[in-house]
Amino acid sequence: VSRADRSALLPQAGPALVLLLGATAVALVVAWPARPDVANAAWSPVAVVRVGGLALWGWLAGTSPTSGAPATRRDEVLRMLVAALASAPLEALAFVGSAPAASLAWSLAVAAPLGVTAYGLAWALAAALRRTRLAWLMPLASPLAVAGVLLLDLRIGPPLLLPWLLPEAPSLAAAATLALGTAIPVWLVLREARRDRA
Amino acid sequence: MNGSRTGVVAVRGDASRARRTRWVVALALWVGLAAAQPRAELTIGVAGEPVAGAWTPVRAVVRDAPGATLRLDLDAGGLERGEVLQGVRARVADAGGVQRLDLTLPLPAWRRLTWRVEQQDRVLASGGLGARARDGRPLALVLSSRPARWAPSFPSDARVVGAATSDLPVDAAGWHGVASLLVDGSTVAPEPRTVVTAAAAGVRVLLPAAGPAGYGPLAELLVDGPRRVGAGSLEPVPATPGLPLPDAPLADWPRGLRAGVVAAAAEALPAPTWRHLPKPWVLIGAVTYVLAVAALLHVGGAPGAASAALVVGAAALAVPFAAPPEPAPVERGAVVLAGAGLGMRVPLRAIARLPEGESELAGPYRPVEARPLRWEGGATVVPLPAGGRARLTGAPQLVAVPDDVRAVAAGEGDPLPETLRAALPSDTVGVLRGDTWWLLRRPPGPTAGLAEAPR
Repeated sequence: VSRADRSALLPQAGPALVLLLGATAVALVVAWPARPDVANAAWSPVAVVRVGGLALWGWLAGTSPTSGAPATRRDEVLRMLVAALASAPLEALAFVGSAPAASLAWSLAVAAPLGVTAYGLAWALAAALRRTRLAWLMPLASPLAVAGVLLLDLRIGPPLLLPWLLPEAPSLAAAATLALGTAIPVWLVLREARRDRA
Repeated sequence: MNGSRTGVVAVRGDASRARRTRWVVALALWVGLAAAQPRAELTIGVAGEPVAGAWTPVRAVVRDAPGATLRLDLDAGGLERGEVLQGVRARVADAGGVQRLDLTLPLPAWRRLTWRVEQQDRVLASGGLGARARDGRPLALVLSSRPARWAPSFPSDARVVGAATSDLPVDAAGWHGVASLLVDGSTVAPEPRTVVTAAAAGVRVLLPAAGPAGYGPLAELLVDGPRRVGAGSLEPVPATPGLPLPDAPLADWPRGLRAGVVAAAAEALPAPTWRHLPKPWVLIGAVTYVLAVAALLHVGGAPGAASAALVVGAAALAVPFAAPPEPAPVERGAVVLAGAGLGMRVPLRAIARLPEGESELAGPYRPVEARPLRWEGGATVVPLPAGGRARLTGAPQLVAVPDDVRAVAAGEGDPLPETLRAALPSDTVGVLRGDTWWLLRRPPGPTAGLAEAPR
């Protein structure tokens, strides 16, 4: 791997990362109680903004017209991982301040896999539309697919991908879904990277 | 010969059989009686008369059941509140023979009350009270060999109950549901300490001024005539049963006023606080963090990434210091309704919880507003949701009014909190000592020198 390639692998601040950090910080400050006699319930909105933000980022990146290049896909996944890591202290601060009946480890860990899973689903949708020469349908298909996935998740019962419920409680079903949803895109990205090098 | 000998043997044989039969019958009777005797009994209320909404003596007597447990479950809800479950769990001493368990518990206005005494999985006794058995009227206790003849002396809506000396509560909290105690001198005399405790706890006590044998110490309490003691009064019992009782001496703290003042004092307690990290600090910290991470990543390359990682790591290490010092804060206080040298002290608690869970208070407490809780092992356990709050009042205790409080009360006193002042008569003086409000009234009238009596 050349020096330029190694340098490209290092995380960089992009608009999405700054936006996610900013939104999480704003949620933290707004939800933090101004008076000491008011109960601190900041964690829930902060977790939803962070986890939901990463999921939205992943989906938008996956359905973006520029997501075709393998290098772009690799960078996007890396940026999401960095963003999940960088926003973790903000969520941890909200958690420690509000002491909810939830698992901080689960909530912190679930954000990046959800983002990558959303990215993978969006990527699959975009690829299917491109393959069938229906890419022009993306502006309509994207929100419909999101609504369909969320509706299906609501119907199934235990939350698997719902960003406003997922951080609340650890779930084996959600862990398995996210592990699978993360493994497939990561495997594809790595395979593409190997092909590129070859 | 043979015949007569055989006859003697037959008579002896009949006598022996009759003796055996008598023994068998006696043994069967003894076993039957022993089996018929209940293994456990429960008495709720003074003389077995529970008063809804009052601190109530509860006595469980268990025979030969070491480690038996009393479970009392009640629904304190209503049409608006729905079901509000409260419970009592108490364990009898782990010993054989007859064991007694005495509790004084705040009995709410119940919709359903059930109890059982159990030993492991075996139920020794059980029972219950329905909503129809609920009565919030305070008791008019009559300590007499013929209590019925005193019934016409009370108003028609009074809850007149004949009681024995052994039924009388010994602590101030046990008298909470009693309005008056009439002792006519025809039974065993109660202890003077018990009588003074009753009066100080707000009970109107009527005693024989010149009693029979054993009543001497009680009669001495009335040497100076009727008097106010603490929140209640002592006065002589009328000579003729059946005639309406004279008007009660003006009590410093009538029953209705006491309940309102205690509730107002509980409301006046400061709200418990969690002492969060101040919001401006959170704002400054969050903005600084976001700008630092974004700037360092913008620099790019290994130095930028490493510096950003350092900032993230440092922030993660600093996070635990932002935890509130006390996630389940408790504000403590007390109010004393004082009069004539004695006072009724009611502990007050305001609790809050940041995480969902159960807050435990040592001793029995009752919530100001009906809520689910349980009394377990001498403590009050209050389940609260995340960010939940509750205000509770403890069992009344009898205290003597210190001289320095009386001295301050003779002047202007200390400024009262608005919530408390609104519930008090205008002639009330408040003195704050530590976390306790001493409330005294200034009506003219004789004062009792009985502060030493209940000690």
